[in-house]
Amino acid sequence: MRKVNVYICGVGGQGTMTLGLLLKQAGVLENMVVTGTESRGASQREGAVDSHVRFAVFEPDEEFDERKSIHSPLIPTRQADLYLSMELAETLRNIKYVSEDGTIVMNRYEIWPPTVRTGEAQYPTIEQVLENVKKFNKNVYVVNANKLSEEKYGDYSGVNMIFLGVAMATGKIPVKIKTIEKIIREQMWKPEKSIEQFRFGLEEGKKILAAGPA
Amino acid sequence: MPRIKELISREKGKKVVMLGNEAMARGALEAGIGFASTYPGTPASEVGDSIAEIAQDLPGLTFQYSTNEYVALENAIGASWAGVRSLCTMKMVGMNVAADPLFTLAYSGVVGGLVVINGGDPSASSSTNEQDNRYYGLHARIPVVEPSSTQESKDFVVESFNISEKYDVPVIVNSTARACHAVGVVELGELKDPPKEGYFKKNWAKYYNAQVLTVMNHQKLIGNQNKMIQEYAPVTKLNKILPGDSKTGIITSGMSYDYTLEALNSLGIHDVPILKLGLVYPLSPKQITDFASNLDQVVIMEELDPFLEGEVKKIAYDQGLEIPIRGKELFPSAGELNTDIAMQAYAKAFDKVPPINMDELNLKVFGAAVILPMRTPAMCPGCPHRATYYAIKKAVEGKGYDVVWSNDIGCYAMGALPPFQMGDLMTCMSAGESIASGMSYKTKKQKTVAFIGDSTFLHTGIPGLLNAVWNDADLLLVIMDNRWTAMTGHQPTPATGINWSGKKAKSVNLRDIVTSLGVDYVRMADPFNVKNTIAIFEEALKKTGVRVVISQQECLLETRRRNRAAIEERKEKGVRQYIDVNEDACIFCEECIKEFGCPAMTVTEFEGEKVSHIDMSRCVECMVCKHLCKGCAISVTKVYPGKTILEEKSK
Repeated sequence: MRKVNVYICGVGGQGTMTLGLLLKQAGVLENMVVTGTESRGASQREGAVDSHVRFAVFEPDEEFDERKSIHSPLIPTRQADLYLSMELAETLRNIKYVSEDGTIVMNRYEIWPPTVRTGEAQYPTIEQVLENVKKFNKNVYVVNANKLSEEKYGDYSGVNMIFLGVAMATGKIPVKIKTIEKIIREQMWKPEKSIEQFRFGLEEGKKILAAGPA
Repeated sequence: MPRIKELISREKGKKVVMLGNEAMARGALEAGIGFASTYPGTPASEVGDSIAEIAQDLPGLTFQYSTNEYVALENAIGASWAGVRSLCTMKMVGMNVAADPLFTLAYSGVVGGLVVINGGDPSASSSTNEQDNRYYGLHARIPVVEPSSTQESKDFVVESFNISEKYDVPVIVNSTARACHAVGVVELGELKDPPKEGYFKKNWAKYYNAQVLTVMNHQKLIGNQNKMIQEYAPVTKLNKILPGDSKTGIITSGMSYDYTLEALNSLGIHDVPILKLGLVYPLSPKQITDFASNLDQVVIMEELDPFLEGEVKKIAYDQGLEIPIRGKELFPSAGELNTDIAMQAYAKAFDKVPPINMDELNLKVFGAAVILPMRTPAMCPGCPHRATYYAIKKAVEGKGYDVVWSNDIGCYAMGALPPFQMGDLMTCMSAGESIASGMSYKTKKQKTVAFIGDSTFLHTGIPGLLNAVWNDADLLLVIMDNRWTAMTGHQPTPATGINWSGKKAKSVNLRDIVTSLGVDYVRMADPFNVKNTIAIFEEALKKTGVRVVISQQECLLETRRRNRAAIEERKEKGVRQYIDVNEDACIFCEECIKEFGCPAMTVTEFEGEKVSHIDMSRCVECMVCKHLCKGCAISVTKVYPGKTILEEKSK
C-alpha cells in the first residue's frame, strides 16, 4: 500500500473545498481508500482555509492492514506529498505539512487581509515567501492561475480548474486524468467549460514543470 | 452538487464519497426515519441540510428547521412517541438548550427510536466553548456512541436506532467537528422507506411524569441501563479489539483511534492491544476487565475531558485492577488532538524517540511564518452587517459616549474585529441582549448596545427582550436582520418567508414581534442607505429605555445565489457594470478602506499618488462605498453591447 497526501490551502471562497472533493471522488472511482477534511463554518469567510486529501493506493490483491492504513482525516506533519496553495502568502501558513521530498505548487495571487489593507501589516513579497518556503522544501513551482484565467476567459472563473490542471501536471496525484475529467463532468456546474479550463491548466502546468522549480 | 442525491441511492454496496455529516444523515435514512428536526450549528449543520435536500424525494419523511434546539427535540419526541423513528441534530452547545426535555425523555423512553446527533467542537473553531457532551450520557443515563470514520458515521447511526428501541432510551451520537467534516468513502446499506403514518398509543404511566410515576420511570431507566451493560455493552459491534502481545494496552475512541493507529505506525509499534470503543457510555466492566487483565498498564487517548479515563478508573476500582491507567497525564484536555500530539505522547509512554522533533519544527515554522500577515475571518464584500456597524460607528463618533458593545452568535460576531471592534463580549445564543440589560442597571455612565441576528433573536431572544421591557432595562438592541441563518449555511428562519424545501411559508414580521413585546421605540433601517441609518442610530443612542433598531438587508450571498442565472446571462450578453474609483477625485482619505473595511477595496498608485481601487473580482455591487466616499470619487459604468453609460457619482 502506498500513501499519498495532498494538502490544499487558500482563502475562503477560492474553492479549496471543491478541489478537495473532486480529488477524493476521483480516488474512490479508482478503488482507493480515501479520507480527508475541509474547512467549514466560520473560517469560510475571508479566512485561511484548507482541504486535506489522503489516498491509500493498494496493489491488485493486497490485503487491508488496519494498523498500517490511513485513518486520520488530517495529514500528519511533514507528510504532504503535494502541497497546493491558491494564495501567495498562505503558502507559508501551514508549510509544516509539506514532506521533505514533496512538491509545492503556489498560485501567485494575493488576497490582502484587512490588516494589510489598513496598513497595520505588510504583505510579503514573492521573494520573501519563496525564501521561507524553501527552508522546508526547494521543489516549488509558481503559477499565476488568476492571470491565466483573466487573459483567456476575461475573469477569474477558470482559476480553480486551471489550478487543478497544474496540480495534475506534477504527476503527484495518484489518479488518472481521465478519472478527474469524469468527476468534473459529473459534479461541476458547467462541465464542458470546466474540462476545457482543466486541460488548459494541464498544458500550462507541463510548461511550468519543464522549466524547473522556482 | 449532484453528489447529495447519493443520500437516497438504492444501490446497496455502492461506494460513495461522503462528508461525515452526510454519512450520519444516510445512516438515519437507512434506519427508516420518518421525522428529522434540527437547529443548524457548525459542525453539525450539514446533517439537517442534506436531509432537507432530499426529503421531498422520500414520501413519509417529515423534516423541519426548528426555531431552536429544545423545540427541535420536543418535536422529535412527539414523532417518536407516535411510533416513528426520529432524528434530532444540533451542535454540542445546542444540547444545553435541549437539555430540559432530554432528561425527562430518558425517563419516559421512546417508541420509535430516537437519536440525537451532537456535533462537538474541540478547538472551538466555530463555538464559544469546547464542552464535552459525553457527560450528557452520564448525567441523563443515555447511551453515547462515537464514530471514528465516515463509514462508522453511517453504520453507528443505524445501530443507535436499534439500541434506542431495544432499551427504550434516546441515544446520543457524539461526533466531533473533525468527524463531522471528514470526507471519506461510505459503502451504502439498504435504504429503508419511511413509515406512512404513526399513531400515539396512550400510556399515562410512561408519558406523564409526576411524583411516583417519575420515580418509577427513573427506576425503569436504571433497570434498562443495567440490562444494557450486562447483555449489550460486552458484545456490541460498536466496540472492537485489535489484539497484540504488548503489556501496555490502549483504550481509545472516535478520532483519537485514528490518530493512535497512525502515530503507532510512525513509531514502529505494531503489537499493542487496542480496545476501540464506539459505545463510549455506558462501558462494560466485563469488557474492560477482560481487556486489561493481562496488561501492565493502560493508556487512554481521548479528546477533551478525562471521560473514559474516569469511567475506566471506576471500573478498575470495583474490579480490583491495580495497574497504572494513564490518560490526561499524557494528553492535553484543551484543544483538538491530532496525529502529531499522539506521536509525542505515545513516544513518551513507550519510551521511543519520535521521528519529528516537534519543538524544533514549530520554532522553524514560527520563524518562517513571521512575515505572514494574520488572516482572521471577515465579513464578505457587500455584507449588510458591515454597513450597519459602519453606521453605528459614525453615529457614536465624536459624541463622547462610553459604549459597551454586547455581541452574539452569527456572522455579525465578526464586528468584534477591526475596523469596528464592536464586540466586548460574546457568550451563547441570545445571551448578549440579557447580559447587556442586566449590566445596564449598574452602568449608568455607559451606554449598553447589544447586537443580535434575526435567527438568533427568533431562537431564544424573545424572552430576553420581553424581560428587558418588563424590568425597565436601558438597552439599545440592534437586530441585524439579513433574512437567513447565514453563518451555518443559509438556512431559512421563520421570518424568511420560505420553509426548508424552499417553498413559500408563513413568515413572521420582526417589527410586529418587537412591538407586541411592549417595545415603544422601534425603528427600521436599511443599512445600505448609509445616511439614514446613521441618523436613526444617532437618535436611538440619545434616548433611554429599551430601544430596538431593526437593520434589515438580505445577505448578498443569498441574493446573488438566487440571481446567479440572470447574472451569468447578462455577462454572456456582454452587459457589464463597473464600479470605479475616479483617480482624479480620490483624496485617499481611506474612509472606504480603514473605516468601512470592505475586502474588495484595495490600494493602487495613480500618477505617483496612492488612491483607492476596487477589485471587481470581489465587489458585489452593494454600492455602500459610493455613499460614504468623501471625494465623490466612485462612479458606476454600465456597458451594453455597443454603448457605454457612465453614471456620475451622486452624494
